[in-house]
Amino acid sequence: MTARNIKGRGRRGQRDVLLNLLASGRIDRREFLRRFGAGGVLLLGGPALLAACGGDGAATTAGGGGAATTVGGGGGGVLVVDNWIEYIDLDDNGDSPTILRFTEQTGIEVDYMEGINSNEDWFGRYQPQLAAGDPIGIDIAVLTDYMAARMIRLDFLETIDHANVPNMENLAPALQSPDFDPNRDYTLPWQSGFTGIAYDVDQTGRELTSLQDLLDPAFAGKVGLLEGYADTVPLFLLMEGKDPQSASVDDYVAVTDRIAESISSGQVRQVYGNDYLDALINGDLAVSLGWSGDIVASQEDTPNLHFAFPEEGFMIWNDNMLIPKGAANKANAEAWMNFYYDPVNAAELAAYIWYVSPVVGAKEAVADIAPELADSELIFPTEATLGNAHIVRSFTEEEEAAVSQAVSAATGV
Amino acid sequence: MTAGVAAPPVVSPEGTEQAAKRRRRVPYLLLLPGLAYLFVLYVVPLIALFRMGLQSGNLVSGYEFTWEWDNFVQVFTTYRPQLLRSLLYSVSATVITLLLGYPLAYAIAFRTGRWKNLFLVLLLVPFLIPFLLRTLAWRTILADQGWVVEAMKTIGLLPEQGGRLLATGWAVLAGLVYSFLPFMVLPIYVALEKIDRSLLEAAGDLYSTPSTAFWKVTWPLSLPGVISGTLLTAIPAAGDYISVQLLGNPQETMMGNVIENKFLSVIDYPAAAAISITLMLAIVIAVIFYVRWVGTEELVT
Repeated sequence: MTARNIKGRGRRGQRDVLLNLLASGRIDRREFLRRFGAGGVLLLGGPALLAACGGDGAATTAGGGGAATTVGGGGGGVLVVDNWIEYIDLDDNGDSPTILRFTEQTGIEVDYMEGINSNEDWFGRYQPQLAAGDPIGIDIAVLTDYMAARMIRLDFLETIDHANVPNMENLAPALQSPDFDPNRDYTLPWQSGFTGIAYDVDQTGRELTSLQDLLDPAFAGKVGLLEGYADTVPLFLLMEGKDPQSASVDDYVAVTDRIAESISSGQVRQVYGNDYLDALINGDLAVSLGWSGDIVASQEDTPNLHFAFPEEGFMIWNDNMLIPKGAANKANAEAWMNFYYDPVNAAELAAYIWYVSPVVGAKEAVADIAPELADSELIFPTEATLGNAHIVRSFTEEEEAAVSQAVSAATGV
Repeated sequence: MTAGVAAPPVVSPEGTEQAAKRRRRVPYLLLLPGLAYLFVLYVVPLIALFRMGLQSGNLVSGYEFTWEWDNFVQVFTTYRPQLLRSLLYSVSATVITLLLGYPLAYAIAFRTGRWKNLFLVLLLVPFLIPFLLRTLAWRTILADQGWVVEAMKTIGLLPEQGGRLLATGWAVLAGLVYSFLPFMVLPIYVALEKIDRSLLEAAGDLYSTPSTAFWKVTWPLSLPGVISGTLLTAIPAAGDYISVQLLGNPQETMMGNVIENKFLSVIDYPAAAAISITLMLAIVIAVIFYVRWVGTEELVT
């Protein structure tokens, strides 16, 4: 099973391991449901999925616990990386060529885990240990901007020694100083993506260009929004002509009234996690807020799915590498960061997982190995496109709770 | 005479007393592991949850115990729609599963003969597949372009324009009924199975019609099963959030969704704890009234 066949990674808001497994194994799931429809061979699939689920959980805890024992001499032990599923390049043997090369070049052994199913779950799992000041046995974790911001606020992170990561100079200029980490002292983007409009052109019957299209009465009951505040609220702000980066907390709270209206009028069908993509593929949705990487990956099977960069602007998000407080192998973690900021390695990764690489020079390097990908605006956006991209602003704990509460109330929870 | 009676005991009076005391103690000793388990894993977290519910603060500044009763009050103010919806869905799902489940249990217990085991296995088969997967499968079955919706449109049960099943309250209810049906059928089946058939024959001998026999004999004897079944359906249904998340829409949310969101997204642990406790108490009170109303001591079975 290669990542090419497995479309879309569980990115955020996904709270269930099983759901996430399903969301990640798109092909398998469709096959699985086809079998179910064909006549209940589902029994065969059930235990296997259960096992897969249990295996995933076990691997995570074993990895976490095992790390503490494998770490031998101070700072030189096995590097424990915790990442999302399907977020690394794999060869036919299930090995990652870039990780193998990393070990070869640096001599650092890597314990690579895919233990992150959602930002919220991950945070919930490790927050008590981190709050108590205990190491969690993970040297690098990958979390989305808003959760990375919370980790910084809570003082749960080690600082990155820039001297150990000289390749950091390859970080795309637009990503160099987010307001939650202006000097990138704590975080470094792993991959990025866009939140914009995903739509089924067969159902809409026209190309969509504006966020206002979400409110087109022709699509009533066929519109999807995304869970949490980090995607939906900023895009509604952009619809109102406000810049999400400079908008006040009051603006964030006020705009949730618009979201509530779109729900009470029946325009919006449901607020989705990763499963919005399924709803689009099934034809339950005509248009939804969506993530660029998902759409690129599903176009191979469903060419009628399109992604639009709305003219009012759109959001760019990053999943960030960060070093949890008390990590035993901080120097090795920095070596890992440095390795993946080498454009050649970054290109190899990007060409495989189809997300937006934050590394300058990756595009040129990809052009050598997979020229058709280098032309994709969704993987390598042009400067002009990037000019219209916005990053979600950072909040204090109280502010985040207020915004989160407001959008929850608007969406019925 | 009295002396003669007192004479036989070989063991001293103190000895018998001790033995009796020991015998009295044995059941409690046997209960101890279970009680300890319940105390550590149930009572302690419950108390912690209740305490959490009276706190205020956030992750950064920490939580303080401030007797924050507002956390509890909001259940009945801010979240009244969700609370009422939880109860409504729970009661409706229970009534429907009872109407569907009783005849099913009855048929399996009395009418299937040698196929009985097969039917019981068929009833249990869904349990081999996780609840979540089964609900996800419904999502495909009820999809807008699926055959169920198409068929209902053809026969006019759904409007041609914009008619749908998914993301409606009906889909949520259908999902709940489907998920909890086995929990209703099994206890009723067990109760019916235990009924002594000669009682029904006796009723017939005494000139009762089959329907009188059912209402005078079968139904009362199956009541413990009905009560267990309704409780096993109503209680988890009231706390369910998966059905709404996968089959419903934001206008159909239940308390479970609010609790989940408060715990994981808003990170308002005190409010989440208070809502959980309140929902639990509401269910306990409802169950007490229900059981008293049905008025049965046979529930102990």
